[in-house]
Amino acid sequence: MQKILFFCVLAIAAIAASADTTLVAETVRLPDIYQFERTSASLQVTNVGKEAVSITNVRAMRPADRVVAFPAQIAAGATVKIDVEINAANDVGASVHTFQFETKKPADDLLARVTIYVQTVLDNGRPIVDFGPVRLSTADPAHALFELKSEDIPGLAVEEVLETPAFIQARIEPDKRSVRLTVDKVPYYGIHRANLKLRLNSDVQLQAWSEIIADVRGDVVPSSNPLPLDLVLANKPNEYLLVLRHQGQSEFVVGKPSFERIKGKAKVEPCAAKSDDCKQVRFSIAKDNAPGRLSGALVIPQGKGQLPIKVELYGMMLKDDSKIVKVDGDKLMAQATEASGADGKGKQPFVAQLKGALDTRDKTINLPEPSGKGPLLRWQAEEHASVHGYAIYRALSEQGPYERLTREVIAQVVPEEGGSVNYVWRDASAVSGKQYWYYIGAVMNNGSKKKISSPMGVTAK
Amino acid sequence: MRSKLIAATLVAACSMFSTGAFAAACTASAGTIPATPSPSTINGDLCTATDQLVQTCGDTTTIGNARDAIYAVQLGATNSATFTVNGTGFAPYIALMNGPACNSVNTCPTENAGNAGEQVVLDPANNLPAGTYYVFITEQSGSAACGAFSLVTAPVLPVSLQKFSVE
Repeated sequence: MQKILFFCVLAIAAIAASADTTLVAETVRLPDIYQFERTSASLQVTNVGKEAVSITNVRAMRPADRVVAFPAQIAAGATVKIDVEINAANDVGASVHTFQFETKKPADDLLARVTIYVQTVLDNGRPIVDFGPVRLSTADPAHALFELKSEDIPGLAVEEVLETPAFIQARIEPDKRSVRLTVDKVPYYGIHRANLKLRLNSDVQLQAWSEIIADVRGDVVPSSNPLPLDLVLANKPNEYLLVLRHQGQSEFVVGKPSFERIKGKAKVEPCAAKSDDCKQVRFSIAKDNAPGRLSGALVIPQGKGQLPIKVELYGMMLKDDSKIVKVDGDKLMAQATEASGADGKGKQPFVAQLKGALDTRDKTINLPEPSGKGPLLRWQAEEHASVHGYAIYRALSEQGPYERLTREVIAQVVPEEGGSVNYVWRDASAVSGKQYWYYIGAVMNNGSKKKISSPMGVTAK
Repeated sequence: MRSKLIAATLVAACSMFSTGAFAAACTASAGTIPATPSPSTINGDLCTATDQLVQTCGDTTTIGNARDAIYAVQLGATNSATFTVNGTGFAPYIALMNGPACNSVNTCPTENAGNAGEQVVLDPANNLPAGTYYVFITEQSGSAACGAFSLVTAPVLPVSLQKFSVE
């Protein structure tokens, strides 16, 4: 047996060496948590090289995560555990937290990942309030309402506004379930976006964040904001035009544009029609921007006493596009839908169909029935690729309000192909003689939740 | 071919010792690529890709200096889909980037990672609006490890129960 183990290590080392890998780390999978909860993980890093590796730093890529401590060196063949703290913040659904190991030899640098499923008590874990285009006005400021929506906790309420975006004034409404938002002073015309952070009255989830977006406009309005740059290739010239137009058809003055977080060149010129109420900015993106996502802004100063105009720019910077595979997504989706079939079981090849027909085994998985008293819920389901698990909701009348009883997700059990699972769950908290209504909810991989059954009523025995 | 043979032998040998310290190391090269891919499967090879990006959506989404296979997926209509990568010889990291969605102050919409041999599913928010999406497949550790992979696109089907009762 020891010889086989030895072979195993040698083979891994050989594969690792062939790929020039010195440090290897397993992806750590943590149990589910709720938004804004904290948890800890232990990253296991092995040096499969022949020499010790010096670690100069281990960085949490997310500001709310933390590395507790790390060793200065990992000896050849050694495995070390590095403790880290994870803050779910406003993640929702399956999410990845990355830690970067920096070493004396950059070739030995490593990325270690922690994956975690983050639940939310909100119906939408990442609510957005978008004002759309608004004119800045002290006499008639723009208003919007943030509403707390939770099928999980009917009594969920806002206790306090923890942080308000700088361009917003926020006031909790008397119902404690909504926050009135008013656009306030802004330092520039353009898109403003920031999180409104609220403290909740729930011990399951302490906070809720909502992204607030407002496109604050003056007299001069850009033709597009944000402006997509699409694919920006370093080996090809790229040039863009942004048209500025005065909404009152008046003449206006703009200064020399500059860039934020993106390198480029820009100049202002008259529009093709040469009308006084129109100017255009011609700009190009420099080829020495770092490859990857481009995210920045074009800032256009206006005349005296006027706020500057800021236009968001975003795109993808690559050296060239020779390695990008272009895919017709609509065709792919049509093929995928056809392959999956209306029932999701898909069209199987003849051999698979024959194999399925000959396989007469009962592939049903029966989960054990919980002991005790209380209404027993039974449901049968096949595997669904997008489902993380199930949740039980209960009410005292068919119309509700319903409340989620299972704070933890009832994990989806994956049966053999063609099989199904019989789930059972008992409501031990039900009071004998009282009538209850229940429905089953699906908790999806992307964090959303779906009601997947009609309510069923029962009187608890 | 030789490395695949080594990997297959390794997986077979390692499957005998799936506990303790060896469990982590022994998953190094597993993984299967469907022999008869469905029409919605794209087969690729990370070994033929080059390092193109160091991050997908910002500093929090570093992908290091590993090779990056990039697919530009053009959606003409709103869709709900999952993207699944099955790889051999590398631990997959998959991310979906769409410009406007990444302008959010919050984390970029979707990324996922797994160990070698694991199927990694990317399940973006429902109803992706029409537009160009970039699907990235890379080695999650940032190293040069690579191998063949399949990228399967599947529609998100309605979830339903076969039976439901309360007694």
